Parts: sequence; structure tokens; C-alpha cells
Amino acid sequence: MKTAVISCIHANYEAFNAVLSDIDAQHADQIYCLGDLVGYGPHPNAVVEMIQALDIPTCQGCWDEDVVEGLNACECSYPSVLAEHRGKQAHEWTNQVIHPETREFLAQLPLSLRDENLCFVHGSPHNQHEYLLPEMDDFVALERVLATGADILFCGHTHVPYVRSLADGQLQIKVTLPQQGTVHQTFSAPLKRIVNAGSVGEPRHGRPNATYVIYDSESDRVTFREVEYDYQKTCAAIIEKGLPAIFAWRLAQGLEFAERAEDPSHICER
Amino acid sequence: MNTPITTSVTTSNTILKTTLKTPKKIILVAGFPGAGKTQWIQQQLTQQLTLNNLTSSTNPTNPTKSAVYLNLGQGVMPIDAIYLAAAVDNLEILTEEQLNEFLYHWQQDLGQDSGNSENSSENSLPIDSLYIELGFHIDPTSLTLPVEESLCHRVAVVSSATNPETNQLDNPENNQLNNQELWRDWADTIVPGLPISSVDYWQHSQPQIIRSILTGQVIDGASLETFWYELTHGAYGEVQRAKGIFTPVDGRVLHLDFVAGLPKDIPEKIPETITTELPLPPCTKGRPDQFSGVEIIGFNLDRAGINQTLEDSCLDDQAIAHYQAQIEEQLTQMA
Repeated sequence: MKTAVISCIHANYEAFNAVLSDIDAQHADQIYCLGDLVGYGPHPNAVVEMIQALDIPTCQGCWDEDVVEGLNACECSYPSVLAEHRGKQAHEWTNQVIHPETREFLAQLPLSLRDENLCFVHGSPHNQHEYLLPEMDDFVALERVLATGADILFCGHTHVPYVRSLADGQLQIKVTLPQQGTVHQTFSAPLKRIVNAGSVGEPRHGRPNATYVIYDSESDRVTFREVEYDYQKTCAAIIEKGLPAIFAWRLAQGLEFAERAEDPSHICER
Repeated sequence: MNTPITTSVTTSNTILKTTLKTPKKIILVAGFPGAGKTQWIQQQLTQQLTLNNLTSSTNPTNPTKSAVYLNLGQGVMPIDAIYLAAAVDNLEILTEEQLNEFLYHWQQDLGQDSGNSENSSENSLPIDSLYIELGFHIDPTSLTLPVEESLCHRVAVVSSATNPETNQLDNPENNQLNNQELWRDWADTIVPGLPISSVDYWQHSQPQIIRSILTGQVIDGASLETFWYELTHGAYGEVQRAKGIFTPVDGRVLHLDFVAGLPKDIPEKIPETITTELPLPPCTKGRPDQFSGVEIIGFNLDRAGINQTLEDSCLDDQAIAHYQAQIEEQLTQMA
């Protein structure tokens, strides 16, 4: 079974369309989406309509939640005052243009999805705003996967794809009971993996191409896919629709528009 | 013996009372943007100052001399002047408005000093000199100063331009920037400048200049980094030259200097942007009085985009007070 996992479309309809074509060409059997359907990009309603039309199982992203709740992005996401200004502009613009039915759809999205030994979340199992960075503490990373009960945890939010294997994990617990003394137990955690699907609509890997992943359960293999598309069309739409023009330039460079994941030790408390 | 001149001069923020030794030579320095005019002036002043300090130490009767600097065409952006004043001891800064009066007094004193034997040889420029740096938009051939020709020495700083593909010197016949003939008619001395790629300015319309004054503004450091990256990588047009003075919240004064087209594949790689912390008093309370601003030269520049980004990068009063209080607390704990 080949499962395509996409994330962080961010209202970039051109990129989403190109990725769907690529998924079709790769003969994936099913698609899961990790959220952030809207935000920053110029076509939020069109993206949501396509998700609905194709009935793609989707979990709620941080931007989806913020738009529903009328909130702004968590401050720990913004690396600078300038980024915060730009993020707020994007929020205000998105808030103004999305249709009521789009907002309703985003509101009913689940926080996580499960398919046998696979779990799908936007940020982390605990929070849509938490970044699971590849260099985060081993124990914390393992805890995040174990918390789901799955073998493979698919996440997005960072916009940079990666696979992290957590092997040979040794866990030791100490239980102290009254009048029974202390009992030590040690067990090994089986191989767990965190797979980040990157971003379809707002890449941050230095190129404007969309990224997603395909997981083949038969071979137990993860494949990264990078898809070229006519990003200039998205750039033109960004400017035409009145979003900050700098977003168009940053998309062409493959840079974050505003938010950036930086600190692997930071735990978002929102 | 030089006759000291005591003058009261007014700059934009301060009133200076200076005592100037009579300079011996007016050195006009011209060149395209980024060729290295200011850098050359700094080198000359630093070398001469070092030499003069050595001389003073062995001959106490020879007092420390000073030099005077004027940037003609800087308008309201004294970026180079502030940079040089911070980098070079005993450098006096003139404004354009002060030039005529200064030259008048200078010539009068020269007349009194006609017997002075301190004039240096033809090949070395005396420390007591008025350096006038000419903005690139000023045609040096059209400049006439009310002084004798023999008192002026003309220096052209010419880019040793390289072809970015071959890393070889561009053909001077095809390259206006490297056309030494252009300067030979005007300059007494031609010095090699920074090796920047050839830019055929004549194929474009006159380059634009954008100047934004940020005096009183405190800029967020991370935002400045983002803005400068965007600026120097084409987000706001084709920037050939950019320089600015900024004051982040920790009170430092930063000078940023960007030149486009420096060759990347040479052993002595020169960074496109050089950041220098100027040795000026930090502002740790409230908004700074120190001048800050940015000058950008290029083509198809997005003025509105630049101004918006700068505006969004600056801190409001509440944020300034908050961060300054944090810094003060940290310093108190460290003390």
C-alpha cells in the first residue's frame, strides 16, 4: 500500500495541483494531509474545495486552528518583529477572504489521524504549534512517537522534509510502592520513525518546489518527492490579491514567508 | 608654522567648536559606487596618522596634525562621514554648507603660510589635507573650487573590474567602469579599487538613489538581518550599492556596507557585506540621537517595499522600554 502524505499547502493552489498530478503518476493508493490548508497563499477557498472534493483525510494545522479561532500564530514561531508583522498581515488577509463554509470545514478537522501503525499530526501529537525538529532531544522525540502508539509518526509544520529513525531506545522506569520497595524495569523500544512531509505550498528548503512523501508499507520505505510547478503563477496571484509582495519573492527563493522553526528544545506552551 | 583656525560650525544635531590646523592640500576623490573611495581615504588617513604619531613621539615639537573630510553629494546622509570620524582619530567633518567659508579662511591662512616648508613631496599626501569625496552622481569635471589649481590633487579610484565568468580583467575598451581613459583626463592619480564585475551603467537609465533616515529609530536585530538579506539578494530591485547606520536595541551602532558584483571565486574573497560596530557611545535608554539611515543605489528599486520593511522592522516605544529594561537587568546581574 502506497500512502502519499502532504502537508502545509498554505493556499497555494498551483503547487497543490502539481502535487496531486505527481501523486497520481506515482500510483499512490491513498493520500493523507497534515493540515495548514490556508494561510500566506492566495487561494485558500480553492484548496479547501479540492480537499473536500477528493475527500482527502486531513488533520487540523496550526493555521487552520488560528483562522477558526480568530487567533494569531504563536509568538515562538516568529524569528523577528518583521516576521511577526508579515504573519499578522497574512492572518488578517486570510480571515477576510475565506468563505463561511471553508471556516466550518477547518473547524471540524481532527487533531490527528490514525491508519494502523501510522499516525498523522500537524505539529506534534500534543500540539499543532509544536515543531518536531530533526535535531530535537532523542528522548523527547521518542516520547512523541510512543505517545501515539504508532510506529511511524507523520508530521509537518517545519516545512523541511526529513526522516528520523529512533532505534535501540532503552527505557528504564523506577516504581516505588509503600512497603514494597523500589522496582526497576528496563525495556527496549522497537524501531520508531518520525517522517516530516515538508510543505506543498510554502517550501523552506531553498527552492520553490513543492515537497511531500510516499510511504510504501510493503517495502517499509519512505520516498521524498520534490515537484516543480509554475510558481510564478502563485507569485502573480499573491501580488494581485493584495498579499505582501515580499511573499512572492520569498516563495521564489524557497524561503519562509514569516514563521520559522529554530529552537529544537523549545516546547510550545500554547 | 600653521595658523590655528577656531571656528564654530553647526551640524544637524550638534554645534562643534573646532580648532583646525591649516590643511595643505585639497584631495578630490572620485569613482563609481563601491569602487572604494571611502576605504582609500581611510587607508591614507590611517597610514599618515600612524606615521605622524611616530614622528610626534620622537619630536615633541611636532604637534599631532589633523585632516578634514567632506562628502560632496551626501545630502542628508552623512554615513561615510560618521564612519570615517569613528574610524580615524582627529578627523574633522565638514558639511557642504561650510565648504565655501572654510575655503575662504583656508586660502587666507595659506597666504600667511607661504614660507612654510612643510609641503611634502609630490608623491606623498600631507596629513593636513582636506579630503573631498565626490558622490558618483557628481560630474568631477564640472566641479570648480575657488582655490588655486596647484592646491588640488585629483584621485580616481577605479575598479579593477573582473569578468565574473572568466575572473579575468574586463576588456577596458568595452568596459566603461574600468575605462581608465575616462579618468585619465581628470585624475592626477589613479588607484586600483575593489574588483567588482563590470556594470555597463550606460545601458540603463541613471541609477536610482533611495535614502531613508532612521534617526531616533531602534531596529530589531533579527529584522535587520532579514531586511539586509532581502535587499542584497534582489527582493527590492537590482541593488548595486547599499550602506547604512543602524541602532539595534542593545544600543550599539552598526555600519553595514554592501557592494554588488565582487568576485566570489578568488583566494582573497571579499564579503559583499561588511558589518562594523562603530566605536560610538551606546544608547541604552530611550530613543537614540545618533544618526541612522540607509542609502541604496540601484535600478528598478521598490521604494515602497523598502520603506515598509524598514518601518515593520523598527520597535515601538513599549518594546524599546521592555528590551532596554531586560538588558539593564542582565548587566546589573553580571556586575
